[in-house]
Amino acid sequence: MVTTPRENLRGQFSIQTTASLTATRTNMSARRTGNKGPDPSTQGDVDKWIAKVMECKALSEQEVKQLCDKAKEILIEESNVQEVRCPVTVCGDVHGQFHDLIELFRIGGSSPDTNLLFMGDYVDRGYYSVETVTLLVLLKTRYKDRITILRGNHESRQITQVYGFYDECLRKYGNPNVWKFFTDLFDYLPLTALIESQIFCLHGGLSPTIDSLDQVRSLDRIQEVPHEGPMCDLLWSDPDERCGWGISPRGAGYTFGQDISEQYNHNNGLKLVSRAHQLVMEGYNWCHDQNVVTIFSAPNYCYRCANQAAIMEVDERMNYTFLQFDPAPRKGEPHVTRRTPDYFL
Amino acid sequence: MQKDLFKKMGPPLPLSASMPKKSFNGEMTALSWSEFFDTCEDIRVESRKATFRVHRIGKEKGDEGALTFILLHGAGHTSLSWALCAKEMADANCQVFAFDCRAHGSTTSDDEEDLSVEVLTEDATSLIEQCFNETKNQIVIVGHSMGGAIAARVAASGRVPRLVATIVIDVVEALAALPGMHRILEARPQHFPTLEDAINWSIYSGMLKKSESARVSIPSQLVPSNGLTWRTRLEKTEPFWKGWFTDLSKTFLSVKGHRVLILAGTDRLDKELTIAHMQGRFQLILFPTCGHTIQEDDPQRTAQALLQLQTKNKW
Repeated sequence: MVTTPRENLRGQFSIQTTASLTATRTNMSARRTGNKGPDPSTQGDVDKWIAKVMECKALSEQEVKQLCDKAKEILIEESNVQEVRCPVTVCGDVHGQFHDLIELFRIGGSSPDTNLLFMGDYVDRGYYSVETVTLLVLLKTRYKDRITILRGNHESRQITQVYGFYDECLRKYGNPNVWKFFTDLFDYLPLTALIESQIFCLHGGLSPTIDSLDQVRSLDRIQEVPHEGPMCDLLWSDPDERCGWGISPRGAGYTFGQDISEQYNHNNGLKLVSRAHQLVMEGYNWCHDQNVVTIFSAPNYCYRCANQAAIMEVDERMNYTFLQFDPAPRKGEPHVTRRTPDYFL
Repeated sequence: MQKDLFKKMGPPLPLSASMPKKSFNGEMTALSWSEFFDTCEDIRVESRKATFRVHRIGKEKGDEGALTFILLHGAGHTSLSWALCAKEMADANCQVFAFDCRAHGSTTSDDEEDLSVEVLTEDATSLIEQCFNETKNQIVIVGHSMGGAIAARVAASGRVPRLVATIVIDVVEALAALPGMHRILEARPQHFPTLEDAINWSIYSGMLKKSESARVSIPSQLVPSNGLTWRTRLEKTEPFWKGWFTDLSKTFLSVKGHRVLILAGTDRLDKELTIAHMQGRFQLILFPTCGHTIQEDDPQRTAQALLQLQTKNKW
């Protein structure tokens, strides 16, 4: 499951918890980043909030506002191509499946023990979008150098109004303020990340209007996801078996072929494009002759798709390991029945 | 005894004393097709032994990339279910072609009983072949509900010339919901004294949301008989329901060209469609504020969803 160099390192650093692989990873990443810790003036509140949300309890409206204000200060400093060091664990769509996010942490490690990179789509479809996005933003605020959270196509005002996050905020808070705090914050999320100048991570895929990383860096990202153009494409596009660029069946973004991925990776000195956005039954899927990998981290998506989820561990030597996982055992989740229309002739 | 009587009667009819006699939401008089469409004609298709009522907007001008939208209505509805949506499309450089299915509206045929998916698909395909064999426009086939199930099969037949997109509206493989349909159909009044009463009922019962649409679509669903009654006996179509919807997801996902599914909510997606959606294999558009008859409840946004295909790159 885990590469041997890491196993060999176990015991070189003081391990606080029971000797687990996660703890080993803790120290790996601690060494790498120097483990300075966050601004002490905010730490107490945030730690309390993390403990609360970890139990799948939502913050108050006022707390969410404070959190989003803090997070905004951090995210605004980040680049459209946020530099990330290895080792890091790369994760795909979560979609409000809070219990499966906790399972992801259990399997892959959590902040600050493990460096994490999420490639968007935290909200919509699942029943706990509020708790899921709150937790990720909390971790970002508490451990900003240990976790990177990118923007997905669902981190948008328009999409969240029809796919569930807006309704969930209304249900849980009685008003749309929390939805507004979060969707305003989403405008600040970085669009892509770059691991050790080698792995380009983003939610969707490539854009016909973008050839270089510098072009991504120069985008004005602080806005709602547009309906078209480079920023839209980065969050919406999909790799395809056909060569060249194609019209996306989704109605937004493009499809891009292996020739495009190879050229893009070659021109930018990259080894790999890592992206999410598409459900893949095994949780991860290589394509384009290993120029592109898809990672999807919502097991049994929408509580009905029977897919596995996966995360990709990139170790300190830039080796990849995929960890697959199934839905977390849970109790108390709303009984899932598909509501069909009453009348449909 | 009294209990049994109520059982027989089924749920209380929405057409009740509590319903306002006069319109509660503006005018409820009938509106003519001519306020929405350019032409109304009856087209004979010999091979089908049927004459189809067709409403159109726009002419084919031979412009490159121009689209023709062929619109198929749902069970019990007629081509006038598209009236407001079509009118919204009138100024776009496209053609709109809506027809009444067999045993619906003003279409006449030798066999009004067999509404199997095979018959309805062959009807639509034959009519399209006859009218558009020479077309230079690119064709988009659009169907609501039962019409969506037919549209997917027509598109999958490979016989529609120059087909570029298939759009289905609020239809899914909802076989589990079939048994509940009886109750809903039984609750419909069978007779109305006047058109205004029927229009009023359609709004009051929640079937439609927009009175302007009800005023043009509802009259076309009625025929004289003890006042007015439904043209299409939906209860009698039950043997065909299963056939309409079985394998719909698979058929829809197999059609070539752009695929769009317009729904009133994501809950309607089954496993197959949820996976396909999340793999980016079709475009999903949601109108959560609409009822089942989306094109009548929000004609403007439905028209926008159709016309967005015009702005897509060259097909």
